[in-house]
Amino acid sequence: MTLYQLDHIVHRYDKRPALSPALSIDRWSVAEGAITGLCGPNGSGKSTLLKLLGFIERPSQGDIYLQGRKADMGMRGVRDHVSLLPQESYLLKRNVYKNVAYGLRLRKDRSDEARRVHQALDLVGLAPDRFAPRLWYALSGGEARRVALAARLVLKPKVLLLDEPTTSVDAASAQQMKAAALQAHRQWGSSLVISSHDVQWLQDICHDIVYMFNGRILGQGQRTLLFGPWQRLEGNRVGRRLAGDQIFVAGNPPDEIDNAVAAIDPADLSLHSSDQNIRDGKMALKGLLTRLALENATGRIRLAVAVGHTEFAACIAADTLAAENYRPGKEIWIAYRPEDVTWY
Amino acid sequence: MDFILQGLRQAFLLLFSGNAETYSAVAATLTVSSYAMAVSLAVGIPSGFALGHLRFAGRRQVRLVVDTLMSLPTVFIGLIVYAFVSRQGPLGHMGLLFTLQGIAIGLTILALPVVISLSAAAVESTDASLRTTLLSLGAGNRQLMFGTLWEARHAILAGSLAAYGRVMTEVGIAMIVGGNIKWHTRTITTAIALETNKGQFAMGIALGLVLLLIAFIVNGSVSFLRKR
Amino acid sequence: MKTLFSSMKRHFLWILILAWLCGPALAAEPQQLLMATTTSTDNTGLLDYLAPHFTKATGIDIRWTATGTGKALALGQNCDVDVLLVHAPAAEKKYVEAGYGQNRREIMYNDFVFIGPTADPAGVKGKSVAEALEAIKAKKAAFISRGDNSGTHKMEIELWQLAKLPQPEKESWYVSTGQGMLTSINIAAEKSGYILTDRGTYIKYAHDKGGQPPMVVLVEGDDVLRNQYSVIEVSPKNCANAKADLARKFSDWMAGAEAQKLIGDFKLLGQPLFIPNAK
Repeated sequence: MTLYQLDHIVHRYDKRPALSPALSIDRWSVAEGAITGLCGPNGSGKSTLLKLLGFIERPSQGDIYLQGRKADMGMRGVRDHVSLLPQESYLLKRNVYKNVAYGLRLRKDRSDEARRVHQALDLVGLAPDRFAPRLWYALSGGEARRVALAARLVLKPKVLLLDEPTTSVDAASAQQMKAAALQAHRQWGSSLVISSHDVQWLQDICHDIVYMFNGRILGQGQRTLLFGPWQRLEGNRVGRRLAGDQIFVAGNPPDEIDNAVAAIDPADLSLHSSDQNIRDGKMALKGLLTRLALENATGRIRLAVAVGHTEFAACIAADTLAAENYRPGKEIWIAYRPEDVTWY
Repeated sequence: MDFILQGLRQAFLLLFSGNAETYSAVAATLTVSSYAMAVSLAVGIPSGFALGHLRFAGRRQVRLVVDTLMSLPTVFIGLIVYAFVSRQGPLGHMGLLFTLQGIAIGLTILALPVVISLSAAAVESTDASLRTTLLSLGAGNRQLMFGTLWEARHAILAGSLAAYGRVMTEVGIAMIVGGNIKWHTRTITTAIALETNKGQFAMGIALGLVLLLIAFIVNGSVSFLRKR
Repeated sequence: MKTLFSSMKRHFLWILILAWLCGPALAAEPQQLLMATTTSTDNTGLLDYLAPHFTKATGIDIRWTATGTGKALALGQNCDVDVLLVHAPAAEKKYVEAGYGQNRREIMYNDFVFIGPTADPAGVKGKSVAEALEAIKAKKAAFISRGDNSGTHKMEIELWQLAKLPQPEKESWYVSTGQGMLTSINIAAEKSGYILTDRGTYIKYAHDKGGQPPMVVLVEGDDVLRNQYSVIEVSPKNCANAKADLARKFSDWMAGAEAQKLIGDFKLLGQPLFIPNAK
C-alpha cells in the first residue's frame, strides 16, 4: 500500500525563476507502515520535503497523494493523522502537561487524558510526576525536544515525520527519542519518515533510505558526493586531487564544471586488497577503511573508505568481508569506471 | 492652583454622597466604552490576526492605512458620524443622534484601528515556529488563529488597553454625537468639558479624578488576570 | 476560552450587540421632546429649574443640547431637534421666513451689558455703547468676543456696526474665543479685558465667584442692548418627523402663566436673570 505519492513537485521560497528551487521531485512514493530515511547535507531540501509531507506548506507546483487520494493543506482534517516534529522544538507558553495534551484538546479527544499524557511522557523518558507541571522555559534543549515528541506521540499518528530529531540534543535525550520513535512504529504501526545526519541510525532502522542533494532525490542508495574544484583532463574527463597522488577522475562532465557535483553509487565501486587486479578501464584509489556497519534491510555490510578527506561509501556481502579479512584501519583500494559517475 | 486640592476633596464628596449626576455620567461612560471595546476587540483582533499573519497583495498598503487611521482626531470622527446619523444623513431614521448608541458607534470607529494595528504587530512578532507547531499538532485554520492569538496575548492585551485609554478619555465624539444632554448622554469627559467651560475648575478636576479611578480599577483587574 | 466562541453563543452575542444599536429606532418614545438651545440659557441653570415643572404639567420628557445659536439653528434645519430656544431675533426672523421654523414666540428677555475689570483702563464706565466702543478702540484695550455665531456674538457685531466702527476682527487687541459665555468671561477676566455678555450669565458668574467678581458691569441701559429670547418650533413642512404637537405644547407652556411666573422668580444674588415678556 502506498502511503504517499509525489507527482512533479517543485517548491520555491523565492519566486525568482533564475534561482534553483528548494525542492524538485519528479516522482516519488513512500510505502505504508515502513520506516523511510532522508539523508543529505544541509540545504538539500529534507526539511522542505517533510513540511510538504506534513501538509504544513503547499508545494508551489505539483500534487501529493495520501493513501491514493489527492491531499492539500487546506483540506479539512488532512493533518489529523499526519504529525510533523519540526527541527526547532517550539513549545507553547504553558506547562509540559498542557503542551502534550494540546493536540488531544484540538481534536476534542480528552477521554482518559491524564493517563495518555503520562504514557507519552514515559515513552520519551520524562518522569510524568516531575515533568508534567514544569513550565516551557524550565527545560533543557533535549527535554524540550522530547516534550515536543511526546505531544505528537500521544496522538498515535498514522504517519510520524521527524525532522532531524537527534540533532543538537544531548546523548541521553537522543537515545530516548530513537527508542520512542521505534516504539511508535512497532506498537501502533505508525509509518515513519525521518531525516537525520545520523546515517548510522538510519541504516540501522530504515527499510528505505533516500539521498537528497540540492532539492533533488538522488536515489535509494547512499551515493558518495564529490565537490569541485575540477580540472579538465583529456578525453572529456575532469579530475580532482583528493590526497597525495590520488586523483578522482570522472567522465561525461557537464558544460558548467565550476559548481558541478559528482556522485558515485556504491554499486559502482568495487573493493580490492591491492591494486594488482584492477582493469577494465577502471580507475583505482588507495584509501583507509574507517568504518563497517550492518545494513539491516539487506544484510550486507556498508564500508566507509577515506581517501584524503573524502569518505567513499561502498557495500559488500558479509561473507566477502570475512573472506578478505577487511577491518577498520586497513589499507584498501576502491575501483570504479569514470563513466559511471553521475552529475548534479 | 488651589482648585486642584479642592477638586480632590470634591471627588470624594461626589462619590461617597452618591451624587446622582456624577453616577449618571459614570454609567454613561461605562456603557459607551464597554460597548465600543467589546465590538472593536471582537472585530479588531481577528482582523489584526489576518493582517499580521496572512500574505496577500497590498498588505503593506492596508497596514499603512490602518496605522494612519490611528491618528484620526476625535472631533473629526464625531463630525463624520454626525453626518451619517443626523436626520439628513443615510442612517437618520435610526434615531442614533444624541443617544449613547450613537456615541458608542463613534467610539468603536476610534478604537478599531488601534486594536487592529497593535494586534497585527503582536501576531507578527510571534515565532515563525509557532505556526508550524500548531499545524503539526493538527490545528485547523480557526484553531491556528486562536492558538496564535493566545500565544501573543500579552501584546494584544497591551494594544487593547491603549485602545481603552483612547476611548475612555475622548470628548469630541461624545460632544458632537451625544450632545452632552444631562442624564442621558452626558459622559464624564463631556461633563468635565462643561464644568471647565463654566469656570467650575474644581468640579472638572473632581470628575477627572473619578475617571482616573475607573481607569485604575480596570487596569488593576487586567493586571491581576495577567498574573495567571 | 474556545467554548466561549462556540457557534451558537457567538451569534447570540452579536445579536445582542446589534439589538442595542437598534434600541433608539425601535423604542416608542412618543412623549419625548428634543430641544436645541444656547449656552447662556443652559449655563444659568434656568432649564434645569424649569424642566421638572414642564414635565409635571404636560407629561412630556424634555431633553436639550446646549450649543451656540449658529449650531442650534443648523440642528433645527437638519431636523435633528424638534424645538429651539435661542436669542438672535434677526437670524430667527430670516429662519422662519426661509421655512425652517414656525410660530416664533417671544418668551423672556434680559439685557446685554459690557463688563470689564474694576480698574476700567479705557474709562468706559457710564458711557453710551458707541462711545464705549470708541474708547476701547482708541486705547487698544483688550476686548474679548464670543466669535462663535451665537446670539451674543451677533449682537456684538451689530453694536460695532451701529457705532459706525469697522469690525475689529483682525486687530491685535481683539480676542475671538469661539467658546461659550462663561468661558469667554473667564478669559476676559484673565486678560483684564472687556466683554459683552447677557446679564443673566453675568449674575451667575458673580454668584459663582461668591459675590465678589473681578469683573463688573460698566455699560448698560441702552435700548439697543435688549436681549430677546424666543421659542421657535421646527417646521413640520421642512421636517416630516419633527414632533410639532409636543413642540407646540412646550411653546404654549413657556408663554403660559405658570412658566412666566417661574421665570420671573428665578433669581441669583437676589436678582432676576430673565424678565418674562410673553404676550
